Amino acid sequence: MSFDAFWLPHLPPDVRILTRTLFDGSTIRFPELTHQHVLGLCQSLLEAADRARAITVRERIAALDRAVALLGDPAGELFGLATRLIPVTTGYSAEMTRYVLERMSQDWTGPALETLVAAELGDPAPLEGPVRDPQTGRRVAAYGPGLTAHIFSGNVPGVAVTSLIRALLVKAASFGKTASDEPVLPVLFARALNQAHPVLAETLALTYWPGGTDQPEAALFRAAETVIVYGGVDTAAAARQRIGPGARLIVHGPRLSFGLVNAAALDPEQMITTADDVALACSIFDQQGCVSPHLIYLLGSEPLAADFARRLADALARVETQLPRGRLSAAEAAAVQEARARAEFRAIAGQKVILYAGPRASFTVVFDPDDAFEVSCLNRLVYVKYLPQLDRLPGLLEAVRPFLQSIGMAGFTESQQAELATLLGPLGVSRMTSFVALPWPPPAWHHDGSEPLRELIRWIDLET
Amino acid sequence: MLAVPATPLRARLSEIFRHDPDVTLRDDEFDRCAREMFAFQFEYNAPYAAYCQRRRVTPDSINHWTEVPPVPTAAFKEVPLVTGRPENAALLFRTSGTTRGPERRGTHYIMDPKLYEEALLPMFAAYLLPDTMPLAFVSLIPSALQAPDSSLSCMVTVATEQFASIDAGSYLDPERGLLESDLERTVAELTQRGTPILLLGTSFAFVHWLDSLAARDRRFVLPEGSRLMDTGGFKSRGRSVPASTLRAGYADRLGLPEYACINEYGMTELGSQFYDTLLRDRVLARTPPARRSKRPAPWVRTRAVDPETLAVVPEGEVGILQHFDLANLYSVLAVQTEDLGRVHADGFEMLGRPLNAVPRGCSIALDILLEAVADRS
Repeated sequence: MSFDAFWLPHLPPDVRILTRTLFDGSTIRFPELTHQHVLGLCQSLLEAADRARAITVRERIAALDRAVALLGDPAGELFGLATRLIPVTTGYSAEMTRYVLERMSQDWTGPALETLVAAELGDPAPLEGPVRDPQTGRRVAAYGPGLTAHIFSGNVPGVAVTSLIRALLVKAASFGKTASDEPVLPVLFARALNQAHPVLAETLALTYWPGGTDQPEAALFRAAETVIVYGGVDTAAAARQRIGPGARLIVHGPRLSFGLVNAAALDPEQMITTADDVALACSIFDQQGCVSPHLIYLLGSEPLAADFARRLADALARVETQLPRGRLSAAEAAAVQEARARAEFRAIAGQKVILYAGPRASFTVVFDPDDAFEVSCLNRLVYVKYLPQLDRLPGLLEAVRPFLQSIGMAGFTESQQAELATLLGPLGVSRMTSFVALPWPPPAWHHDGSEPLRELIRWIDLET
Repeated sequence: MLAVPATPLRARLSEIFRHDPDVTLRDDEFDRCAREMFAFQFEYNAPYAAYCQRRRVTPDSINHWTEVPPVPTAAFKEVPLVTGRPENAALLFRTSGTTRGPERRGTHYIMDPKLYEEALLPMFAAYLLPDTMPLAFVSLIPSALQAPDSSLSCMVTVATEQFASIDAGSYLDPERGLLESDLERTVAELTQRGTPILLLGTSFAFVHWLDSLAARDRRFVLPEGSRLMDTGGFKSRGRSVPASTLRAGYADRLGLPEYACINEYGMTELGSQFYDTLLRDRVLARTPPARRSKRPAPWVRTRAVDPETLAVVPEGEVGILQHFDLANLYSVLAVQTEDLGRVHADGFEMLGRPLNAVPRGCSIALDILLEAVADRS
């Protein structure tokens, strides 16, 4: 089959269309855009955003709710295309794709978006026009960027849609450049929005071009008032160099997460549930999300931690039957082999390392009593380590501080959690939650510690 | 116990290394030697024996060399994989320490430097000096004196001593980097005298030199018969330059034709080295393979395995490369690399190092994080 991996309502007719063939023979099509094309498209987007400005935040939420219902309808054409194509482009199994889509679309419904707006803005009225602020007496109005550029990464389908939704809520137009391994979902979202509210869909432009295609990227970066980049260090660095004067850059760069399990969650009644919860958190997105734990620290005792490692391996085997791991590139599989070899030889060298290797490279657990932080090669390879004292944690995390994001926790009381937050907050951790919730940040989460809706907004003060 | 464990294989290997480079060792001979070597290593290499026992493989349980368990190169960072006692090693080679911090470097214990030389020299000669032309050796690799734990430096120093008509020196100082003006002065002099040159260097060093030459728009036309050996990829720093671009640079800035640019593939963990066959094929007037190919030495068997299942893949398909190398008498016969490649009847093609794979999005890019972590710790 052939899929048009672009949503460009104002595309000039003379543009050449290129094709990429996927491994199963299906093809995706995308336009070969020049610098001029992109500038033209950006101009059209700004005009469309102007025409759409009168559509209130409430109306936008209602439109998005309808769009997401269309996109998430398991019997619908769009969902069918998603589950057919996303496994091919991303490598995720069909089961994982369905699961992720169904779960993420719950975060885009009307009520979820209302929660988001209320959490970050309180009253969205300033987005409709000047409003008296009771605190200060002045009037304020809020504006989203005229044009927001989004540079998406491909590891978690759905992150792109969330990004576009945020921009729509603050009335910004969006030009999204998709990743080579996930060019599909954002386009399907745009098609859904077009069915729900065509005027809003005109404020979106989505397409793919190969990374490093200089000219269209340069044009986009110059034209956009705000640039949001998802991805590795190189993408962010390149963006920094090229954004226009006065433009704002928001980077969601490389991040890692880990787990922390208290002895209380390892007692005989809870052990299996805890292992199941951790296994699922490690398996969602095949561990490739910023929210995915690389490593689990256990408090209690070394034998208890070693026992947990074994249970975790069993639990990962169970998850594999329901949510199979996706296709790995040769390089990714080679990385798993290498990590397994290191663990095995450390055991041979007399260290108390235990390796649980699932069949093929399906999952791996490495138990290591040495509590030094270890970065996983991902794809369901987890380190399990015994942590003798909680206060060792800041020292152990020092090397990975710039990348810390989320912590999954189990077995801590509310007051213990508050203490953990006090201990770990200063290190840059931005989210602490249960393992069950870990893969699914709620709509109003402080994404990498910031307020994603608010940071798009520019305020104007009327002080008379 | 003797300083170096004794085995009749040692003498046998000296003969084997004198084998015709173009004819691979007969299967039954290779098999016999390989299994004898496996038994020898099983006896004297304790970590390797433990590794095999975990797989329930012993010298008695196997019938064919293909059943000998290969060891991933990562293991060399964790334990001494030496047949004999590490403290009796005559010399040590270590991998470079960039990717994971200085303390975790792979080590190859050289119990018998003579063995190492006997394996190295014939293949070097066969693929770089097939026409037995007298050459001045000019090196962009630190000498063995400057970099005593580098197998590459050792290799170049030994080969220079053995084969160079003129040892024209080494121009990469471990502290100061590439000594460009000295290098260029030497090259200019030799060129003026019409003395053919063999340039030896890492691809990394050559990229730097070529960039510098381009920036000054300087070029050389090396005397006829000159040639070049480059080795290695780009680890995780420096620009990634495709091999074809590099060779275009050799042609443009050094006047070297395609067939005179020979890539060498070796590693700290392997006793043998692999070379592109182009120059040898040309000198012996043979049709070279369709793609640039490395031919294993007669005493090496190379295969590609599926990265997930570790089962051997059919000829021509991509897999992780494993080498069964009889020159590894005092370490482990069978080594599983971190490199991807394709094996053909007449040799194998390298596809580069997996760890440089493109990372996926906002989840951590392993390579980049590891560098950052190494920098901070």
